[in-house]
Amino acid sequence: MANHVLLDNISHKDLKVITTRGANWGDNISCATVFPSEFAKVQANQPIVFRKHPQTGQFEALALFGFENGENLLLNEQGELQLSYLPLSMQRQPFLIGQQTQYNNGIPEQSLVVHIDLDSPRISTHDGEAIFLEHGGNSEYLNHIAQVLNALHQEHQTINLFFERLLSVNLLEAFSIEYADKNGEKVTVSGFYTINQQVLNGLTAEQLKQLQQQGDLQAIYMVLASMEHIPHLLNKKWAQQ
Amino acid sequence: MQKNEVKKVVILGGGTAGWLSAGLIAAQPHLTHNAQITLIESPDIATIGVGEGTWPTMRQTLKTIGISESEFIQRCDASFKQGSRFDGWCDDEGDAHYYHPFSLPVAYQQLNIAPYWFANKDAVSFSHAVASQTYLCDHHKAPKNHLHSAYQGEANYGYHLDAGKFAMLLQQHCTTKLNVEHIVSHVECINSDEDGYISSLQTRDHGTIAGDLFIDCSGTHAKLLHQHYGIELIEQHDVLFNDRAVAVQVPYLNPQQEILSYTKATAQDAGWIWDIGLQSRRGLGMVYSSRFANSEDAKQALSQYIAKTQPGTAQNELIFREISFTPGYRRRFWYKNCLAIGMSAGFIEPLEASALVMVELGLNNLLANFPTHRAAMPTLAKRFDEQCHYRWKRIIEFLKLHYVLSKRTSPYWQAHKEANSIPLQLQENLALWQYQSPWLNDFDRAQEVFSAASYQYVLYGMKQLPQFPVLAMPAAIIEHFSANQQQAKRGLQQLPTNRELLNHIQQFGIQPI
Repeated sequence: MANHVLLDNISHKDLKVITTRGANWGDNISCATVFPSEFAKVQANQPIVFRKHPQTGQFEALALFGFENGENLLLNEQGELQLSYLPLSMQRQPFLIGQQTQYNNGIPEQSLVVHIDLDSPRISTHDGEAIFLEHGGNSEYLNHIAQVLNALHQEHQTINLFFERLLSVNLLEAFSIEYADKNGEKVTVSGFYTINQQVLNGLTAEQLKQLQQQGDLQAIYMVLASMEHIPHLLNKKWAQQ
Repeated sequence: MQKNEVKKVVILGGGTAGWLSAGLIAAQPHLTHNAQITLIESPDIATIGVGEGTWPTMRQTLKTIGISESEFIQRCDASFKQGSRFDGWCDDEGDAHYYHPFSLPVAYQQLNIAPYWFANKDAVSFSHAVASQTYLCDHHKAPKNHLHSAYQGEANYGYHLDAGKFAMLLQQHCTTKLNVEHIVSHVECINSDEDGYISSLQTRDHGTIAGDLFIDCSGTHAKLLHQHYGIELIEQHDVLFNDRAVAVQVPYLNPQQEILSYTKATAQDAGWIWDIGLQSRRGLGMVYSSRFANSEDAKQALSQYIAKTQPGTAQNELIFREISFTPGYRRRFWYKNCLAIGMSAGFIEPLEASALVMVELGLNNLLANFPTHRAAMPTLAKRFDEQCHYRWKRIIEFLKLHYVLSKRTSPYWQAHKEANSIPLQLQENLALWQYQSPWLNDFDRAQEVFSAASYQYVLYGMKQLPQFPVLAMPAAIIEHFSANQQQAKRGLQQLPTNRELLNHIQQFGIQPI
């Protein structure tokens, strides 16, 4: 269970965060949210797929690590996770962005604040990175987290527009992944979406130009290239069965 | 040659029928060889705007026109409709009701399951036994969830909507995205050429609007087809007596009130009351026959209904609107270069919400065989008329079916059972259905308005069972029935309520794929 509280340098002055990645620290996950500005780095190692967010129904992009809930095929035998690029949504853990209303001369202003999940397995008092310096100042690490949270906030503002632009030219199509489990039974994982290559190839010069100017074209090709990792991921699954 | 080509379509009337016509025609230029569309509406005429229930066909219509489901739901106060429920139609006693859901009976594509239900008739109603959707209706469930794509769902569905807002949305879409020319002016005179074809409409403020094909969406007046060409109505008073309605809009007392998944039709002594749940309000109305009641009776019945279904409603703040109509349809629907779409073509009564679907069917017919040249019109008009007559007759028979099986005792309901008020075709079918169940052969056109399934729902909802031996149930049949129950169970677990899903769509919209 999550236990989100506003981070402050008094209550949390002695807390540390374990930044090692692995199953023991909550990395037994089958996917992580990623954003278009990360696609170039993610596609080098993992498939990027789209799906509808289970709560909001809005499209989001995911780096795929496995095919079942809690299955991370990239964990090594010791349960460690070594990614050459760690998505922002994972870097931020166990911190989150919260909103706070502050009054400036009586006028309410929304400001972004840092929350921390006190129930995260990453929270420690002896191991890991210190959040605050001895006298209460922000650690280097916390400054980095603030940057990550800021970047995520920016991405959240624009991600719907990215998908709207893709949808407006019918570039998305649904797909599912099929494989045989260890008993030879066919398993279908559905609910994924990707770029429809045929539609992409049929776009007019004007449409392509629009996508290029928005910076979408590169993201689109990164997604297409990343699909090559799906068979690799399936091979890992077979190897483990 | 050039002279009589159809290059410009002029639509007269800015209600739902007019704008649906403009939208469907303008969105499919490949079917009309890029005909130009102009819609003229009079500033003087208020649209009727009581057609607030659609069929599932409306999903395809909106998709074709290019309106997103999110926008439609957000802007038209719309909700999901999964069928109709008829309360108190069987007899005078109690609250017995039955459903006519939009979904077909289970295994409908393979076999007629109805005869196998008779063995179980006392344990489960027909619609519950064969259509899992019935359970969704019982629990105010939506036909889909927030992960379904636009216009797709778990169960078949149409909409309830605010007709005024719908016309506004269509108008905006047609004029900004589909290049439809919109002229607001009164039409003062209709100009014809030497062959009697309409050549132009003379407007009060925008001069003469010429056209090659004219679509009369001017409502019950039928300004072109009736007032200009003199084509009369074939009145249906003798079959379906309703000719008046009193309509009222009732806001919810609690803004998060559950929304009905169906149009509720409750029988009254001289008619029936419709109850349609939108997001912000209910649309209610009593439709009745002036032979058997007056508007005061109708208002009183409505008041009682509101007091019963929503106690605490401040009734003195409600505005009751009276509507009068002549039930019937035109002798011709397409004459020379003029077609009637909507109330100008005919109107019977709101039962089974056939008004908007007839608009859609008429337009689809026109577009499937669009006259690109005047020379094609006489043949196409003949076919169009034949098709429309067939449909109106079938609609009238199906609506009449709802009345003739009732055991209600008031004079209105008794009059409905008099043999000379029942169309012959329906009498024949009713005689046949005493020995067998309605099935595909009874209705053999490719595009029937009401299928055998609809007849089954009403017949068996009204407890009109045939006299034949109860069939033993093969295992495969038992499986179909239990699959239906399983589907109902899944639906009840997994689907949000109407209110929950509509709230979600207001906030997040719904994805196009």
